[in-house]
Amino acid sequence: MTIFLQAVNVLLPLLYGLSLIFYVSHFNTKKPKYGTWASSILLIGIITHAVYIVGKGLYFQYFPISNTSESFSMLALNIAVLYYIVERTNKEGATGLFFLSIVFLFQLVASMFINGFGTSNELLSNPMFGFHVTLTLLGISALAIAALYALMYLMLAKEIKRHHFGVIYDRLPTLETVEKMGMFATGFGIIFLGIGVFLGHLWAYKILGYFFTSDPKIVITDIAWMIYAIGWIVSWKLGLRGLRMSLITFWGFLVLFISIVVFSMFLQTFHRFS
Amino acid sequence: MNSDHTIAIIGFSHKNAPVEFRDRISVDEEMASRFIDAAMGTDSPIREIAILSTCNRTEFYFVSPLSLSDLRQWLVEQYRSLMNIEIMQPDIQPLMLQNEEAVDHLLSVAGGLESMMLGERQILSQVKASYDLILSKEYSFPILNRLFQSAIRAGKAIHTRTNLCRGAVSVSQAAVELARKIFKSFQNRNILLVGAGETSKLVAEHFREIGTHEFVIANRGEARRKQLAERFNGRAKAIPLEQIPAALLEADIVVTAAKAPDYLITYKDMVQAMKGRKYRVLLLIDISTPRVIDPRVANISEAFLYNIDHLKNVIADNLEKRKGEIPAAQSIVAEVREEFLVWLRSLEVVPTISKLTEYFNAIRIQELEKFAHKTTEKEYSHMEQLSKSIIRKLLHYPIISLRGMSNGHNLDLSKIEVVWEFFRLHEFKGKEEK
Repeated sequence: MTIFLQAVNVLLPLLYGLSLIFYVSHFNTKKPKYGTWASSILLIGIITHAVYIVGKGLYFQYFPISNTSESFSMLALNIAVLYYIVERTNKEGATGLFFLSIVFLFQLVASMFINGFGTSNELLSNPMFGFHVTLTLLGISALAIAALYALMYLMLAKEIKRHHFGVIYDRLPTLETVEKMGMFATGFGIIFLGIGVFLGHLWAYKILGYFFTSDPKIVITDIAWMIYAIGWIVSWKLGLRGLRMSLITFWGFLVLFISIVVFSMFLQTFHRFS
Repeated sequence: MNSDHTIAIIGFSHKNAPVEFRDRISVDEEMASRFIDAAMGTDSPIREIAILSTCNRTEFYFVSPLSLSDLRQWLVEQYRSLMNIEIMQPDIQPLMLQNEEAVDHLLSVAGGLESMMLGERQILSQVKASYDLILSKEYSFPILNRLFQSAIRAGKAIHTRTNLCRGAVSVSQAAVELARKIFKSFQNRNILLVGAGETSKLVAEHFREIGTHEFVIANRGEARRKQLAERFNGRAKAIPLEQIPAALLEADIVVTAAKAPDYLITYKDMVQAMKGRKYRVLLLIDISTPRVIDPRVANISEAFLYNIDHLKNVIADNLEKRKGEIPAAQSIVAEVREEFLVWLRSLEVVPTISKLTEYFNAIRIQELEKFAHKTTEKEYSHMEQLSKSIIRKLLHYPIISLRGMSNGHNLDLSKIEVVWEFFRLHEFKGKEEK
């Protein structure tokens, strides 16, 4: 089993790298065949990755985010899955290059710095805990994807506005498509992160006996998610679209990310597992 | 060489004739059919003919042993008798090409390389129409049939394998191209056209081609706005200019092509409209001169404002990009031309080889017969075998060379003519000819 996992560990960056090469070719040439190949190889990569993570989890009986390498690998899979869904739903592969670059980089780091398999952390040995982590990571990944689409929207709108027809104008899909892809990812993000956070509270109730904790990381995550979700939904309901909505999505994610990641780095928290 | 296979073209286009002349000599399908009938008559020296006639060119393609000047004379006479037009004019020289150059020309025409607007797509369907016409006639056009097939193939390859035909090259197309960068689908888009002149009609047609159904036409004159609205089968709404601010609330794209002393869409109108639209993106294209949309509208974040100069820049950029594609298109033309010429050469080479073989064998038999009564049957048989063997060896390399010529890329068709002249094959009558 270990040999199989080691082999897949090498194979994954290769698959994502190959897919990235085809996405770059698709972006440069606009030839649909490159897009089809890129997408097909990405799907093979996702399936292989999922088998790798599930296989590893089942064999060693733990949820594989016990160290930085495993967390990077999980993030790579999440972004790959979400991007694949967004791409297939909108039938638009021109933006794959941006997301596969991240996926490839994350998986390369994960594969290079892997340090054995298994964990001594009891919490990670509980499969129920996996749902909380998976959904939370999926939610954050989806919001990151939405933020990147919002950035693309702003850049493309700027080019159109300034009558400058450069590479971005020439290669990116229409403003409407970029907006739709971003909205799709945002919807995913709010729902997944919301469920992930809720499951975390349930878990806390199970092991600590109370639903809400005063742990700063959790409090900040709750507040940040709530502000993001409410702000975004209200803006949507008010009918805001396009430029303003992209600005809200982009800055909303930055605030959320800074709140969750940066604050938790400097504040005392029980919420560390590695 | 069999000069029956000489391909020739005599043509007039925007490059060598003024528009008035081109209009006059242009032939419709019925007239083209009459030209074909005249060329394919019993005593005509023309083996094959095809006519390509568009608004920018009228070209006659021939397969005939006649010289270019004789073909031109024939054409002059036909124009006189069929259309009562004098095409022989001292200041207008037609394009006259033969063989490789003629082939190259048609392939380039089909690919849009010779068009007034580089990379024009419509010409390919016009080449197809010319081809369909010769197919519909009862005559046989083996060489032009193949040539037009090759031209259509070259045209399609240029369209698909290069970017020669991509990008808008007219103001109305450029307007649509810009809209396509903002909106994915046009089915439920609302387009406000300000002005009901020719430009508005053209823009509306382009948007209709890509799926737009909802038009609002704002114009000062009631009759003209209603007239344009009627063209859209009741899906267009005609409004007076005063209702433009209200129409801005619903519009996704605004195209103005009108004359007015003041701005028809002011900055204030747009600021108010944007609030009402909840800042939904709006594309405004002002083709009018002088402009009728306040340029300050461009300062509103969600309003993408373009004027005629911006569109001209788009067109200039696209034309520059198209020019960059010329080498790629030319290499496709060269590729298809070589395939066609290999086929054409094979038509020339095969009869030459058989004629040459027949000629050598005739000499062999003629010389052998001199010994028919001077030798025994056995000796005669040996001599016959010897002569056959000598002829076979003598012809071995010439035949290989001739076959090689048909497959090679460096054959000048006139080289085959040398073989015919060398052995006087034109004068030699084979068994069948006797």
